[in-house]
Amino acid sequence: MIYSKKFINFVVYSLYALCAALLLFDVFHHKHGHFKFEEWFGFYALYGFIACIAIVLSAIQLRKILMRDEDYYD
Amino acid sequence: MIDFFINDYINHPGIILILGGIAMLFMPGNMRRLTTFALPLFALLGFLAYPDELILTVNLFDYTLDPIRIDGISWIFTLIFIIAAFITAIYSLHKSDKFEQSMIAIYAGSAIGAVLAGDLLTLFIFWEVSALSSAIIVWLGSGHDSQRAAMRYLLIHITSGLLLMLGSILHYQQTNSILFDAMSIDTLSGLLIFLAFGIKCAFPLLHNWLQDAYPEASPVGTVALSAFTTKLAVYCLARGYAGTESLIWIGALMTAFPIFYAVIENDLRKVLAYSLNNQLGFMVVGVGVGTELALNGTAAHAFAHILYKALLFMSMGAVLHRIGTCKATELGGLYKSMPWTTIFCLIGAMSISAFPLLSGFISKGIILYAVAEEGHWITWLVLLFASAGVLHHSGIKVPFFSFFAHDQGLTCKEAPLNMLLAMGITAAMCILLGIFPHIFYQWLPYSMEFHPYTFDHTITQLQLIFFSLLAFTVLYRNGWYPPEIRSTNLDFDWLYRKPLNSLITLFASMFANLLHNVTEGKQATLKMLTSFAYQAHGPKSSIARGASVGNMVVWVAVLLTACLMFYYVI
Repeated sequence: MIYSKKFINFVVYSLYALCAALLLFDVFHHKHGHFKFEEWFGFYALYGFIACIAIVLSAIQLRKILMRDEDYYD
Repeated sequence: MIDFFINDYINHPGIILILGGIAMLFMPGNMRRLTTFALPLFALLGFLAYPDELILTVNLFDYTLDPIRIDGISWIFTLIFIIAAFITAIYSLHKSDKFEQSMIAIYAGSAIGAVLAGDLLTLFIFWEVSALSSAIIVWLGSGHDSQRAAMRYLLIHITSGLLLMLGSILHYQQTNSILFDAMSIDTLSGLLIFLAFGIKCAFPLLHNWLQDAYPEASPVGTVALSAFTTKLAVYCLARGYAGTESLIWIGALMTAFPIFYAVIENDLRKVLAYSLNNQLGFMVVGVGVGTELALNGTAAHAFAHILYKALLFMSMGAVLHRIGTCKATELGGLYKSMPWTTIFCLIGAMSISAFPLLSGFISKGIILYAVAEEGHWITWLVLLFASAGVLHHSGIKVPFFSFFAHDQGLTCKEAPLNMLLAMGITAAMCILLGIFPHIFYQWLPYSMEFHPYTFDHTITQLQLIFFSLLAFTVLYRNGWYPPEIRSTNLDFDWLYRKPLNSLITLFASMFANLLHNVTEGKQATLKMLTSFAYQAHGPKSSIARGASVGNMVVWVAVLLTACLMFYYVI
């Protein structure tokens, strides 16, 4: 059931909608943080998004250096 | 004396578990199962019979020892260790491995004994017992690889124990006290003890024993291992080195670098081991900041972390138990066969990702707040980066690749009932701590004002979580996410498993050659040398001969006469 295209699309579009809704809070609500940059529009959203993309992309590069056969140490 | 011992030590939860663990070696199956289950409960009863604050002092020769010290910080660590022992005991009930169950009880008991130790000697003894018992747990994994990993594990932990012993001796020489209190890394003794704790806490570059050994233990063994050793080290750091500034950057580094490895790792229990390392980083940063709020954060995070990490390891252990592997390449679609395990794994994943209403949201919140209060903005940014990373590998990768992703057509039975029960109890605790943080606060070492459910904290955390999820979705749907590959990824252990290993083999063969040449070619010389040495040092030689009293008296008289003559001449 969960592998049907319809269901996957439903989950993905719900996620998009939820993200948009969460970002909307930053338009109407002024955040108070310890640091100035916390108060920028969409700081947490962008930081999380960019961090994850950066982690995955650099991990792919890391694989080129670090990856060996499964039985490398045997 | 006997009264004194019985009254004060009979309640010691560590000793209850250790003695019970030894007794279990001699029990038949069902009785052992009952004891496995009952021991942590007895330990809890014993512990609660102690007052909240207690220092027990004993004088042994010239030393003043505090074998039991209960205060705010040792209280909460003992409590969570007993809870972890209880959960592991339930999780192990389906098995009838005598040694493993008994070793787990001894291991848990020694970790508790170490937390309650108020002096370095008691700490050292329990430290070594925990090292040895945990090494046996690794050894009892699944064959040759486990045994080799256990030997490496033991070597590293013995090194840690030696450093602790050396540091303690130096500390005693300098201060004339062996009590375990705040120390400084500016002295040699302080630095050695710091390193001993650092090895157990899996500091960067000292960390590889963790990822090497934990995934090699049995499903039950790994759950036990994940709870005690590293959190004992965190406790010791909090006790001895709170406010040590270098811990801030060490911790920050620890939160960040394991994430990259976790993304490319195929063995899901190894992914969890990397993520354990990263979670320890948060606690170490808390110790480094060292304010009351930060130390509360460390204690709270250790408490919450032991639960959700055990939950994640239990769910992967259940998969391993049923399917026989934990490799992402072999798994997928298991939600159909193991719906309950899936739900429990998701609760663990959401807790570690600091989802609102779950335990991680509270404990990680305290640490980040404490770091921000002190104005460490770079560290704060690193921790936020690591929070997004944790969500990525533990929150998404582990449940996604095992229970969803591609349907591999795997079918199996749901996990055994006792495993489900252990996971259910742990999941319930993760939720309870998240919903009622105030229960949690009263167990923390210091009183504090912290409101996790402010509008700002909740919304910003949700933004971080859902946009990280969004990043994963975008990458995965576009085929940019790195595919799971059966592989080994080089880490720092490469250094001692490859070049150092070759170097030692080279030296060994050179020495063997040398020995061969000497014994073959120089037989005559060798014989002469040994017979000469035998004459001088053998049982009938002049050196070995015992001197009689009469002889000695004569020699003393000769010497005295010589002295007398000497003085007379002068």
